[in-house]
Amino acid sequence: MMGGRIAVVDAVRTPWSPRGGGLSGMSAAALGAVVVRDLLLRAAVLPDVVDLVVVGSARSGTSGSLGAEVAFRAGVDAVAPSVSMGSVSGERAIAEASRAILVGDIDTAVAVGVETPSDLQVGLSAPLREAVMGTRRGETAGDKLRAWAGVKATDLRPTAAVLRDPISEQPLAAAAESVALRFGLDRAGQDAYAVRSHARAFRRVREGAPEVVPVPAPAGAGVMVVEHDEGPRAELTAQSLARRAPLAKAGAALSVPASIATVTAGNLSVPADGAAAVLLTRPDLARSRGWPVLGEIDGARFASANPFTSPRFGGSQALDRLLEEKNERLADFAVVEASESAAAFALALLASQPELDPDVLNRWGGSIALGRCSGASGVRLLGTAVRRMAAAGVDKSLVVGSGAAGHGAALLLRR
Amino acid sequence: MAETVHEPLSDGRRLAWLTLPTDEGGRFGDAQLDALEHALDAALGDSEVGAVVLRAGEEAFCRGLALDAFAKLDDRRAVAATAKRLHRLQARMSGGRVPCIAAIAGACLDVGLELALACGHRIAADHPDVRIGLPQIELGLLPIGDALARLPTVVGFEASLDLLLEGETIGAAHARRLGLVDAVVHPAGLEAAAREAARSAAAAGAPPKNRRAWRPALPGVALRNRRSLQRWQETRPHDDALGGARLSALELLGRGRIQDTSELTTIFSEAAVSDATATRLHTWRCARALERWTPRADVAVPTLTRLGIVGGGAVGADLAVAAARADVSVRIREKSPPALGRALARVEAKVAGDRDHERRTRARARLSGGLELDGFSTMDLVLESVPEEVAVKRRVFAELEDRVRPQTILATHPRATPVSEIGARMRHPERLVGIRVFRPLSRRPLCEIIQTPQTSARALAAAVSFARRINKTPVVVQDGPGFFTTRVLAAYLSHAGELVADGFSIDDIDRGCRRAGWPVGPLQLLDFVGLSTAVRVGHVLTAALGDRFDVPMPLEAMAATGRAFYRPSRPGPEEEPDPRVHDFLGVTTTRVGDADELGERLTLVAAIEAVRCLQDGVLAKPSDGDVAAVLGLGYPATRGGPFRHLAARGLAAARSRLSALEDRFGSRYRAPQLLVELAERGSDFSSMEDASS
Repeated sequence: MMGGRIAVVDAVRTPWSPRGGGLSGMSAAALGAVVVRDLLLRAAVLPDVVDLVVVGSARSGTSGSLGAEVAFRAGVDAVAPSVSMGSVSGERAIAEASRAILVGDIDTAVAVGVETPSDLQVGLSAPLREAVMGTRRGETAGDKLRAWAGVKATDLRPTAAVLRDPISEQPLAAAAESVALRFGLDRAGQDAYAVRSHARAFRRVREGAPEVVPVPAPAGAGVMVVEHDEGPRAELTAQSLARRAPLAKAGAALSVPASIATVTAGNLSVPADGAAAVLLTRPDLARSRGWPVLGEIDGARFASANPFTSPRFGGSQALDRLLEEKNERLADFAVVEASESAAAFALALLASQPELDPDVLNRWGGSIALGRCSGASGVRLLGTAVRRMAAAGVDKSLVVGSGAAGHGAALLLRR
Repeated sequence: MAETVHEPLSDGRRLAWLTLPTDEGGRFGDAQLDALEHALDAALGDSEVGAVVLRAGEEAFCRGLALDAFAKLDDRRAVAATAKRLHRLQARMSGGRVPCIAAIAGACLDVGLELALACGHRIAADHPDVRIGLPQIELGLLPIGDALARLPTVVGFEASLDLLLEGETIGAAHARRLGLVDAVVHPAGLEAAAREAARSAAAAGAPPKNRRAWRPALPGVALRNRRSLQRWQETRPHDDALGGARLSALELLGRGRIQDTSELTTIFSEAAVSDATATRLHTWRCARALERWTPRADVAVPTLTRLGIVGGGAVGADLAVAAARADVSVRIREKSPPALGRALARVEAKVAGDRDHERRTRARARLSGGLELDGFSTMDLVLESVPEEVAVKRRVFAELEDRVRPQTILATHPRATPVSEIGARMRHPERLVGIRVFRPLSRRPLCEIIQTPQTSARALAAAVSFARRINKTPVVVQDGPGFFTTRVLAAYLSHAGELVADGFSIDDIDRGCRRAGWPVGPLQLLDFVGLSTAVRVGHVLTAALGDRFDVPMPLEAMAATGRAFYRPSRPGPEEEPDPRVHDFLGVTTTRVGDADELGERLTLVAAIEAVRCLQDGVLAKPSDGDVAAVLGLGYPATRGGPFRHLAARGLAAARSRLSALEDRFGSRYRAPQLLVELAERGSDFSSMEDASS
């Protein structure tokens, strides 16, 4: 990112709702529209002043124009591209919007992250796909019929997208397991991390999270208002987590013997539905318009780590670059928000960044408790970080995002 | 004037593009008929012309007859002559050597549709502005042209009934399904499609045949029509209130295909000069005048693009959807998550009922709900529709005054409590105005605007523009308990309840009122409003205005136990009077009453309450009361509202009837002072019409 800062006027998000939960009836566009509209209402900013809406999503939305759908439904008449960069799509959306402001193209933008894993994207099996294409190519009725000769009944079953790293083809649990082995992370440590994540997130829910807006979601024939994060569980203890069987046993996909496997469904995140949005503008403009400013973005860095050798290390690499460029030391930060799709990844980040204090990391809970909402994650982390800065009375914070395919992002925020 | 543009056809002849002449309001009157006759004479008489396309002007194809000019024709012969001219014109268009094509954009209503029907081929633009139908029947006017004869041959008998007798207006896609138009095309392609149709029609020497062309006079057609008519009548619950025009049309249709259009001329001109039509036209004209009315020329009308609604009950949801359809962004605030869920479910149910994808999508993009007043500071207008408890409503306004900008207008939707009482604790009562709408919203085109002595001209202007925005006729009344509508309705309904408690049968009371011209009976209406709500309103009004609003004790007991006058009938979805009501009320003998007399008495009770409103200064002028009563309450449209009704009876006659009723049934029928004075002076309400305007 170029020099100069971007003012964060306000940031809101929907409750995070693990797949199949209260938000499962919402489309990505509808969920994105809720946060955009509520963001503007809360900030008392009229939609006409928004010049750009950038919507980040890893895989939600089918039209390729999720940005335009979100903006239209939110009543914002603005250019609205969508961006996708796996689990750091949210950070990418923030960076795109910030850059457009910094280069002077526009004044005010909304960056949005949306993910709706409940809205399953299904595909056709390879033989079925071939048959459909053959039907199109075939000129005579006989050709069209012959195209279907090789299709078996089982081929008619739709194929759901499997959540694997698209490059290493490793499932999340396998990647976590390999990281645990590499850093010597034991089961008890991972379970303890998960319990702490839940306890912290649950405390935040109980105390009331002003960044969360209630979402009216279709439920049966009616509408139910989802008010709080649905993932955090207060009753979770290390003992109850210890009873979970390691996932390695479940399938041959994990190449770790069950006897030494440490990753369970308990210390791994589940996919969640959610959306988050942040209103960005030039700091001088915010001042002259009398808008409140929660914080400022002072820099953004992205990285690409090798998904085979360093799964989920993109964030750590981006962080190193950002700190070096900004001449900052991690030890000076009292607020750090990072994605944690597995306890193993969070513990590995702490292990590889010795200056990072565990008490400083994700103090209001993280994805293990809330659920991982890949494309929306970065926008949520930013919204949480700016509020944590105010709560802790500090003047700088960091956002670190890591995902499959080696994606990594780091943002530096100031107040 | 009708403009004709010629362009060459491939065979050397020419295609004439004829713009349907209309006045500034998009309507068709005598001058336009002259112009059209002239233009068609030129085109059809020209051997070089191979086809004619009748197309829409700037805004609409045709919104109907120019009734303002038309109503001056109170002489039957002149009306009949106009109708005859139109018939001849239609016959020439459909039967001549030159095929005519109609290219429909915008509204195509009444005489517009009739002219389109005379064209052999009709193409409509695929746009929500295209509305097709014959709504004029609502004024007691039959189609002026030959639609009665032609429509059944185009869309079939059953569909004709809805269009001809119900005044239903439909969109382009629906019209295509019925066969009322032959093709629906993208608006940008309308001209090209019309040209193409004209070319092929010119080549064939005749327009393409209608799919459902009438098979002439097969034996049994008339019988089938009669059966169909019978079915239609059975499904209409309130046929006894059908206007005379509708009845004669029914009779005519029942006979089968209409060959001789002179009969149409007769029934049209009879209907046009009848008192019934004059009465309906009076209401119609007063309503149009109110729609054009602005409070004060020197006050700029505040813009209205953002609306906040506090309380998403039935009324809040109705208003939210109506505003969103008019391109206003709406935010609904409900206080609890379940209530918000119910409010948004109500809203979504209404939005989802819209058949047009664009309108549905746009409305959804403008509607949202939340639990807080976030963003209400940026609203142009905030309307409160929380349950009627003064303390609750005051709390809402206290909360709102802390949040909104100084220029935001605040509105309350009260049921009976005076607006000034609701706003008594406000720091700025001048920004408060009352806005009342009526349910079902789609069938009650009134918006009653309640002005307190403090209400600013700006707030009033905002309320009037809001009413217009949601397509309701604004009637401004002065504040007071029950304002106008609730007072009149409460007097009428509480008396109906009293009659039940006196032992009259539910069926007699409701049937009597329906026969008097009310769209639903008072007891059915009480069930719809909710007896407990009605009782609460009764208490407010009794405390403020006196005993005539008193709710009989047995009815309070009914309300307290959640009873209703009607229950679902078995079998079927219809409702029937609940026979247990009288047992519950402890009335042993059911009195046999004359239904018509009951209807007359109840209507009179409503009418004299309206007179009291005028006397108390709630109404500015009698015609406001007429419009409000007909459009908002369902006061018999055939009577044109309470004041016109009383004037038609004669005030002296009404007064003596009232004193006779008062002697027999008590003080409910006491004639108001104003009525007595006017009757004694031999004057009537018209003298009060200009005093204030």
